[in-house]
Order: sequence, then structure tokens, then C-alpha cells
Amino acid sequence: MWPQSISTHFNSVPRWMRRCDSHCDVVISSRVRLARNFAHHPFPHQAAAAELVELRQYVFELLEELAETSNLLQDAGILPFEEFADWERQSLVERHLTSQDHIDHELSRAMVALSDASLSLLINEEDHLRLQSLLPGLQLAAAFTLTCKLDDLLEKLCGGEFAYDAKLGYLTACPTNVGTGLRASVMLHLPALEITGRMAGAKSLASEHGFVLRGTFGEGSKAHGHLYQLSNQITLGQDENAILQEVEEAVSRLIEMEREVRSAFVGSKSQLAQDAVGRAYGTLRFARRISYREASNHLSLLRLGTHLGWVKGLSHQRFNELMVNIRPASLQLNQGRVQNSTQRDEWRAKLLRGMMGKVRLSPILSQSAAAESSQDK
Amino acid sequence: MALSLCEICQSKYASVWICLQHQGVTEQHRICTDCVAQIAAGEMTHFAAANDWDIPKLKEVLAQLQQGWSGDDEEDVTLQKLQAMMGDDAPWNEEPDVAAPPETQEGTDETTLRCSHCQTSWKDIQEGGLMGCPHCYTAFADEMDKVIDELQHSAMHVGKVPRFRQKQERQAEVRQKRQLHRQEMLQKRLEAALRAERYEEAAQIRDKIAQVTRSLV
Repeated sequence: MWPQSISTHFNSVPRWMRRCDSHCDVVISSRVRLARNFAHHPFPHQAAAAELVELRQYVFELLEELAETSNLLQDAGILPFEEFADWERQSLVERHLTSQDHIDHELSRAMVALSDASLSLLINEEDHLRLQSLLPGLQLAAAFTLTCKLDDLLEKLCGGEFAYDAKLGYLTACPTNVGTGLRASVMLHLPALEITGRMAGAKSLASEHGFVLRGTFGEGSKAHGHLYQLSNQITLGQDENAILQEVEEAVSRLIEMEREVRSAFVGSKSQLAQDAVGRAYGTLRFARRISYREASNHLSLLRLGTHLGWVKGLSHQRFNELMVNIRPASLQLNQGRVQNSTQRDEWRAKLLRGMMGKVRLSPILSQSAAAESSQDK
Repeated sequence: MALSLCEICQSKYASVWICLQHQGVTEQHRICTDCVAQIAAGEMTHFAAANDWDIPKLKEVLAQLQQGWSGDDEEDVTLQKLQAMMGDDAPWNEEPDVAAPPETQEGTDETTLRCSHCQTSWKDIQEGGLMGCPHCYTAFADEMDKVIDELQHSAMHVGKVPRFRQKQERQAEVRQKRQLHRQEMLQKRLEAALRAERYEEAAQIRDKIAQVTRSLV
């Protein structure tokens, strides 16, 4: 296990972006995070920098030891944040691998991740360790199994040093995570609910069941490209399987709501939806300069068009890749250089134009436009 | 300044950090130069209103800001320039508080109570929302009972138990079973001794039973 470069360590297509048949029309990916801390050290926000550096080194050594006895982290790379530029670290947030707070504190923070990013370990984030699995589609149980394996191995190697209390369970920096330390979240694509103004209903449904529906990048973020994260809020008083099951049930309800509204788009509201999808295609196909916000919303509409049978050539994987690759830091990472805002907007438009060359509109959109054009003549 | 996305458009890097003092409350906003320009031009007022921003104050600061800023290059606006323009109200210009001597022992007032391991006070936890170290949960157990009940609607962990803890619990269970068995055997011997009127031996057995009972408690 060696220090790696962010730009070369990860596969071009992380596992969560790949095809998965589990409710893929609405569900993008599933994530499970377990928060763990060492019993006799202050939490990262309270610890001195030198102590955090020592702690990080200790974790690296544990992982070296782990790699000798287990294949779980076979091709994992170590990513110490101080070795990377701001925009390189920002690309980790854009790929949904860590939080803004984590990368804002570059010194003594790090991440260890498999090259397909399906399993990773965040070091000195809000907690000393956050074990994380990120998989495509609705696969919370599989993601939990992976993180749990890593948890067991680490606990054994560190001799049971994890902070644990018989009454409160795993002790975490924030009391909202105490108990199981488990945060299960599912990324959902909800364009129909958002376009038709039903997000307030979806959010209240989530909160009635003890969950929260947040923006694309979790806490405090807004939704881009109609992507939302549903996650549990309660971590104490329920075991891990019960939490995962309840999150899946809430996800199923949201999937039903989204599908119900989408079905109206092929019926009474088809004109409205076709107009939106057609405009989105036109903009992405021909724009010379485009912001991330605009591009992500148009891409989202094309994904919706794909599920309504009006768009061909935009697979789930390609959509997921584009949604990440058009973000500011990822654009720069792929270019290998820093760009200003205008250059990024131009490069984003170029990237999208290239991709749109492979996308085709179905006859219902392309022929009607052609027919109207001939009528005008 | 750490790199983060603009609070408004969420698509460009925030290169302006605006810090406003409003009715004693400090508001901090990180936004990109494009959005700054749009707000200054009187556009995007819905964002300001939705976030409950102090629009007149914001405009005043932006007007000052624009005097020294062309608006073309994100890098032109530095935190130092903003600090200078924000004047004496900016929080970074505040004199540091003259701190009272640190508490070295637990006081009776709950706000001065400190964790003996990390010296975090109950006030720090209330203000920051984060515990200082795992021992804080014990140091502030009474206060945390209420907080955890409000947050989690439960007070007892029922999930995964670390394996080392499972081993400890199993060992404790075995020890307890052994002691219960011993207690049972001693009770039988006591009854036999009493039946045979061996009172001295019965007294010794009774002491042993008391010892075993204490260890079980």
C-alpha cells in the first residue's frame, strides 16, 4: 500500500458509476459509512495537529498489517491530503468520496481507497475513522457487509481500541452518530418530482419516517441535476439491519412517487416533458460555453428522456461519468491543469458536445420537429 | 482560504468571503465573483431573501468592494482586501477575549464543568455541537442523557458489539455461571452442616456464601 496520486489512482469509472439493475431508473448509488474512534484520543477537531499526524501514521501501519493478512484492501492507495492541490482534493468531494470539511483541513487528514472507490477509509474527518462503501444502485446490505468486514479487521488489529460504551455503543464526535455510527444514504434521481414541484412532499415523507432528503453533496448542499441523498438520522436504539431496512423502505416509497409522476409525462403532460428534453438536448449538443449548474440540469433531463424512451445512447454509466466529469475540479483533474471559470465553461461545453454526438433522439422528438419544419416551409 | 463551491450557484469556486455583522449575529457567505456581480447589479435578490441575508448591508459592502475590483478575474479579490474593506466590525478584527484562567477542576456550575481528559467544557459542547473526546460522554453523562434522548429518541445501543467486547462479555458470563454454581453448592453444604448441627462449619460456609454473593453483585 503506497501513497498515490489522486489523478492516477482511481479507475476512470468508479464502481458506483457502473451499471446496476437494482431500481436504476431512480437510484444512482448506495453508501454506508461507519464512524469509529480510538478510545484514548481527543476527536480530530479537538486534537493537536501533531497528535493527528501520529494517529494517521498509526492507521497507515494498521492498514499495512491488514494488507498482509487480507485481500480486502488489495489495491488500496494512500492519499495524504497535504500532498495534493486544492482542486485535486476538491475532486474527491465531487466524486462523492469525502466531505468538504475533510478536505478543508489538509494537514494530517487522509483517505485510503480501493481504485474502484467501492471501499474507503476517511482518516481524521469528523471522527478518527470513517469506513465507507459506495456501490451502484440500491445495495445497502452489500455496502454494509463490506464496511463491516473492514471494521472487524481493523478492530482486531488495533486490539479493541475503538471507543465503545455498553449503553451508548460506538462513541462519536457528534452525538447524532452515536450508537451504531452508521449512516446509510442512497443517491436518488428525482427530476419528475422536482419539475412538478413535489419535492416538499417528498421531503416531508422522508422526515415523517425519521429520514432526511438532502442535496447532491449531503448536509447543507443543494441538489444539482435533480440528484438527492436520502439518509437515516437515528443511529441509536436500532440495530444496523433495522436501519438499513427502514432506509430501503423509504427509498421504495420515493421511487413509487417519482415513477407515478413520470408516467404522466408519457400521457397528459407529454408536451411539457418533450419540450424540456428536446431543449436540454439542443443546448448540450450545440452550446459553446455552459455552467455546471445548467449542464447538470440538462443532463438530468436527458436521463429522464432515456427512461421515457425518447433518448438513446446515454447509458447510466455515461450519465454518471458526465455528471462528475463536468464538475469544476474534475474538469481540471482530467485536463491536468488549473483553468479559470470561462475556460472551464468552454471545456465543459466541448466535452458535452462530443458526448452528445453519440446520443440520439427517438422519432417522437426528432420526427415531430422535422415534420413541423417542413410544414413551415 | 479553503476552496469551496459558491453558496448561490454551487457551480463555481467561491472566491469572495463575505462576513456581515447584523444585530449582533455574524453571517458568513462564500460566493463566486459572478454571483457577487449579479447581486451588486440588483439581480438574484430571491437568493438573498431566501437565505435571510441582510440585503442593504450586503449591497453596501459590495459597492465598496467594486471600487477596487474589476470583476473580471476571480483571483483579484483577496481576503486581505475584503478584511480591509469590512472595517472594524469584521470578526477577524475583534480583540481576542481575555480568557479567564482555565478550569482545573470540575466546578458546580454546569457550564464550567470540564472533561478531565480533554478539558472540553460543557459550554464548548453546547456551542460547537461536538464532544471533545470519548470520555466526554462519561464526564457529561447527566447532561448528555437529555441531549441524546432528544436527538435519537433512545438511550440504549442495540446494534453491533465489538468482538473484543463480545469476548469480555462471554468471559464475564462464564465467570458468573461458575459463581452461581459455587453459591448453589455452598448452600447445599450449609444446609447439610446445619442438619448435622456443625455450627462452626456452617458459620464458615455462610461467610463464603456472602463473599460469593458480593462478587455476583
